[in-house]
Amino acid sequence: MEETQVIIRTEQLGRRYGAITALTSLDLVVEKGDWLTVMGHSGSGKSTLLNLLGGLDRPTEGTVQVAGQDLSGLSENELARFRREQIGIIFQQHHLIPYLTALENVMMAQYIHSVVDEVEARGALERVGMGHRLRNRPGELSGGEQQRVCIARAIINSPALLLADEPTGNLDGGATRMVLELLRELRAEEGFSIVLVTHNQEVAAWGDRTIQMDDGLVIRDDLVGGTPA
Amino acid sequence: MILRSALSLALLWGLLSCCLLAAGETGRLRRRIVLAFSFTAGAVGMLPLLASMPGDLPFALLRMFIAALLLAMVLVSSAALLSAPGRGVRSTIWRERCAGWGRKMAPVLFPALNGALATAILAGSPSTSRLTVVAVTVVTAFLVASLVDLLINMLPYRPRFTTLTLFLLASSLLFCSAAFSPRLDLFAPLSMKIMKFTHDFLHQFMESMLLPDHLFINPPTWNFVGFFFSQEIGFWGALLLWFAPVLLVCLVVSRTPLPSVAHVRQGARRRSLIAAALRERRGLLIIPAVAALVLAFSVYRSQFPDVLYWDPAPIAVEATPAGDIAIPLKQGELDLRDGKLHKFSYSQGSTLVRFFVLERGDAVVVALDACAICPPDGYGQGEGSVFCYYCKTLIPLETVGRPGGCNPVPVPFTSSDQTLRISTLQLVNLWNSTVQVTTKNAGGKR
Repeated sequence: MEETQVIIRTEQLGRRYGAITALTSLDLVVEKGDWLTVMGHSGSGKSTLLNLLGGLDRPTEGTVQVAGQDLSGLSENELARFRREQIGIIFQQHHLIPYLTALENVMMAQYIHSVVDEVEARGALERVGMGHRLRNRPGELSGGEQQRVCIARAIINSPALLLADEPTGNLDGGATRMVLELLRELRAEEGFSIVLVTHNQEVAAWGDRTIQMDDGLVIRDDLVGGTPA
Repeated sequence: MILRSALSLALLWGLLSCCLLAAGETGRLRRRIVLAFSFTAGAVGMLPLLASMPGDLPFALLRMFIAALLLAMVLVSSAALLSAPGRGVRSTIWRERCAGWGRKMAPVLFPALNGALATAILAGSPSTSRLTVVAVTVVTAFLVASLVDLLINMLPYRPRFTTLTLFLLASSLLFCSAAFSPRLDLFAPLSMKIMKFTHDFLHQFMESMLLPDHLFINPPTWNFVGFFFSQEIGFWGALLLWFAPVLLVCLVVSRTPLPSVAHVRQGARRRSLIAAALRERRGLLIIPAVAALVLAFSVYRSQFPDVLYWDPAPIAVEATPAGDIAIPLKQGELDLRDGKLHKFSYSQGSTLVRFFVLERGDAVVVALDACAICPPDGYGQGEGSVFCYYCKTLIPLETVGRPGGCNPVPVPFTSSDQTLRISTLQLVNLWNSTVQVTTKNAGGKR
């Protein structure tokens, strides 16, 4: 596979926390534009993998390359810049700033990246169907709406890789479907790759490929086909 | 003290040469040679000037050059502001041409002036050979320059220069060097000139408008008007002029247009380009900020000069029954003809008169410890001059005893049998009339 087509490449990637091994010798290659789903029970190493891919944590063994950059060789400042420019993250708990409006939450991501552009932020919220709730604070939005604001915040800086940690964990069936459809549309338009962590088999079926983890090891690697079950 | 001045000057020279090295276009070695040659030429060239011209003339010439540099800085930065990008092809061509001249001239002009300043300041010490001082300064300067260069290379971020900011910093460092000597300092005479200009302008204005001085102006209004006649107007006016180039350059930098990003489709990329341009603009403001600090330090040096003046405590004298003050020219350890300033005080009622006796060349002079312009803060004696504490003006010894300007007001006296005799009536009247006028000039603040 050509290196320019690869978004993630890990070699013997491992992470230990003292005596506990969270991730062991992971060799993983993900192509640009792919949607990779990571499944596994609690403590299987899913979030550790996500943290390592997002440059939020450093490996204790092996290497991890994202968008052509070897993250283990980057300084703290370079890593922060990498996160700003290449990574978008969606959390289960949203982590929106409660005293800022939806628009201001998106603009905050712009501010941290470079400079703010209200027109562009407004456009991003309109793309995720939140154009009518720009001035509402997170507390005034439903769970699905908050997650859509999170998606707008995550894609506003045109990341190469979108990391989603249980993005539908708090949502009902309708809202889950809406968020996943949105992610699929945006991926087709923007061309970013997705690594999504979930417990839900139905959610996993929306991806191109699923890996199953257990005790820090990948125990299964399936190509789903890119269509929901 | 001479060692401290040498080290300070060497540090300033180090900073100057580093910024000239960083901003040059030719090879570093060639630039180093040009800088070294220019500095040494300026330092050595000052020696025959000092030897051939008497008194303060070489210092006055050097100060004139530095004043011209300040004026040039104000003009250049104003022109840069007026010909900001987007004002047409002609102004762009002129800006580029001026920048080219500046880049060529800076590595020669600034080190040469810095060398001349170093010699003028350090060679003033009579106890040290002038040539030794120059040699020590040159060697120390190059050691410091190399050290500062090394330290700057170790910084994670190197400051960015444009020709304009280079001129600004280099000029500021020269003004700071000049502030090490009261004879070369520019800020104090500048504030005096502004004070005098304001005073004369207002006076002429009131005269031309046929406005009498006091008749229709009540004391509160006069106190307000008095501000324009006080030393404060000179100080604040000089500050405005002193920092004008920095402010103008900051305006020029902040008005630099941002790049056109309309053709960039991706929003994040567009914002990144704008953010990078804004960062670069902020980076360009570092040098003006450093220049502002250097200029502020030179104002501090000018206001609080690190020079020890001979200023003995006044000796209280009494009047004889005939109403005279009699001071023997030599009595015990006191020798009025030793060339030093001797201060005396005479008390009559609530009035305390201060005056001094000084041998100037071949004659002894008696003068009030006050002048006809400034509030009576008094004088200290420096090398070849007396120094007015209020307006920081150096009065050459040759002119002490003559009336006018900031010269100490001469006191009539007679000399007989190796004794000076001063009439107490004349002395007290002279003091009262002088102090009354100068207190009014200070805006009623004293």
